[in-house]
Amino acid sequence: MAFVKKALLLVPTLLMTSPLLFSCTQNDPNVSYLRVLNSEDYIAEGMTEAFEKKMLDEKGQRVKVIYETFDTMENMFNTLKTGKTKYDLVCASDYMVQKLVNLDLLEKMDYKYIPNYDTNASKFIRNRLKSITWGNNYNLDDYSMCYMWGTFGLLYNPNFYLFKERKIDAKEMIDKDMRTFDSLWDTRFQKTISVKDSMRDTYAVGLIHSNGEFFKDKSKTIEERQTVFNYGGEDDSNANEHINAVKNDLLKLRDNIFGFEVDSGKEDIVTEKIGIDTAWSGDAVKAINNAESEKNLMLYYSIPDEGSNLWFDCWTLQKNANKELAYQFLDFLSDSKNAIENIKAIGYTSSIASEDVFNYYNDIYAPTSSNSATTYPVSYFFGEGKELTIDTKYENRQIVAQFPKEEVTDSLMVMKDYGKNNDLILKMWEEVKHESLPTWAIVLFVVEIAIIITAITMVVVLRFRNKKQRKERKIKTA
Amino acid sequence: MKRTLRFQRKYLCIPYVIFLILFILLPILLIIFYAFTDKDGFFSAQALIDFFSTPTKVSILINSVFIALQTTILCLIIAYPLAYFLADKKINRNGVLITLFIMPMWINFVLRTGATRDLLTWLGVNGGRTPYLATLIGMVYNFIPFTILPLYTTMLKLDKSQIEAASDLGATPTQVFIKNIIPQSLPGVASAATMVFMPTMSSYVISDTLSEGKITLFGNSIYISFSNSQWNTGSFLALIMLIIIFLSMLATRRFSREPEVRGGTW
Repeated sequence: MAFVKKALLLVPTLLMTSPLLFSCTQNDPNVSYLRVLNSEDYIAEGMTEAFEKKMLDEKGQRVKVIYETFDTMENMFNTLKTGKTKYDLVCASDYMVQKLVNLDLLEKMDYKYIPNYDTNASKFIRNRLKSITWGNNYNLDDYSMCYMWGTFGLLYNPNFYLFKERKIDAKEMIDKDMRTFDSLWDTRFQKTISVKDSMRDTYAVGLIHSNGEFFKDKSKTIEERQTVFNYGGEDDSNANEHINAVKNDLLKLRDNIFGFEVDSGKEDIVTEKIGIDTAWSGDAVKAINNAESEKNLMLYYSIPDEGSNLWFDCWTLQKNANKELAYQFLDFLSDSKNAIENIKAIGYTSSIASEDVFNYYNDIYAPTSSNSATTYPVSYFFGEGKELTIDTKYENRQIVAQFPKEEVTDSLMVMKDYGKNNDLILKMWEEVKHESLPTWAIVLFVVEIAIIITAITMVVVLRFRNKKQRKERKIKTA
Repeated sequence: MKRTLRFQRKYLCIPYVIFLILFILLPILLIIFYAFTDKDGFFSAQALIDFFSTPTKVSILINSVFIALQTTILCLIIAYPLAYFLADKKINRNGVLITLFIMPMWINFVLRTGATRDLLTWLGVNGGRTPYLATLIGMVYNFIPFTILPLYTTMLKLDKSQIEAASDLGATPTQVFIKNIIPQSLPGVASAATMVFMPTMSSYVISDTLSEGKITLFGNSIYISFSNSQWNTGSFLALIMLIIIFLSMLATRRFSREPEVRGGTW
């Protein structure tokens, strides 16, 4: 249960954030401290200890990593802005890096101190990061080192019992229905869909739907797509109009879906509460694996043909950080062996594209027999001519979530920070999430309030009269 | 003159005063400060204007009052007879039954709500289809112990001889109930109502989980504002909540005083 897990996680988080603990460990002059702030469940267990050990063994330097976690990017941002604690390294999503750069909180990265990343990181990732530019000639690659990356797509169970009842063909669903976001609006899938209770992700889905014709057009270039995908943001002169169009679409979506979720969807789809869920790729991999091992249920993942959101979670170097140590740590994380450890633990795809990582994927998705073998090209990520040999049962499932198909990579878009328009989109989101009272409720409400008001006045009047009578009696007896 | 610092009994209050200032007064002042300033800390009524010119926000407030009111009424309807019977020593020997009813209170409500969701799905109540029903069930389930406890304590204190006297003097059971038992238990009802109404107004985990994110309550609105760094809007919303809580306290205070039943009968 996610709830139980969260509650259990709270204990170490509370312990770690306790300032008392810091003050008693921090005064040792022989120890260098590295303060790391990362998303929950986003590193392999024992990784920080391994780093401490390595530093002691190889350099004779005593290092202590103070590792803290946060739950959402917004909360992390508030911690950074208001908190008194200074961090050296913070893990942030692409748009959050932008916000932090704009507030002048980040230091530029110098990759010559992170050789493992400089040589092993995928060129695909580096180029995409470089292409995200804004403001005063800033780009993402200058300020952040990509840690994990992924896509946003549809996680679904084509054999869901309600789909069978509604005579929806599983094969057709894989080949056609789930290759467009429009299906989320399709009444055939009514009340079987969960979408993310997360403003940015669901806004993106709405944006793709309301500009469906544009995104389906294969001739559009990635730059054009990128522009439309950032409608509503700060650079959009027609933001109001675009946000309104998305709002109307999302209001319709809201009536068609089962509900909004952030955490429970990946379990609900396994327990067959829902049949379709919008999901981040890493969550999808986890859910697909769990469903198969626990309930022998085949879940699928797809990135619709219109394209979807491509996101990066990056390490950022904070102003006044202990640079030397921070670079050492990032280099340690970028080491193939450690990158694979992290991939195993969290399920997301790392930015490291070394031979070892390639072999790791070749191993875990290896075909069980020669009949079921197929090739899966990943040259965009691992370099010229690279192809994974995988079992056909992973097709349209884990592998798509780990590595999008080569032909869709050009329609994957990055969503920038909305800047000052964030408030507008938030307002739109509130309207989408809000449901006005149904008529029966309004009637009931009015009747109840009327009754309560009359009751109160009656009690007050009665008491007043009682008092008066008593007074009169007192006067009489006197 | 000899001046010595002698221990006085009022010094015992010091920890409480510190607590009061740090965790109650100071936060309230901060809320008021943020509610009427802008991002740069200057005086501004922007949050106030924003709130009343945004129909969604007002509507969310109305929704929350609605849910809170329904929960309160349902809790009272269920808990009142229950508390009456539980207060009867013949039924509730050694207080085992009351413990059973209060027990859910000891488990954290976030954990409980997760379980409630699965239970409701199993029963066929689906938050995606009937968000209001699912939310109300969850709210009532979570807050009913808070209603039973104060009602139970007042029911224990019911003046039995007065009830007997009333029926001896010829009052019908209905009359005894309306003219005697209800006025006697009114303080319990009032405190039970406050115990439920206020927390339901601001709770959002229950509605979020059980309505599958389809019902946004006021607490949720405040949370979203703060997590998106809209400190001023969030503080203003919190202030409105404080005002409503204060008002409902005033309203229920009228009833929590000992009723003048005795005086009235002489």
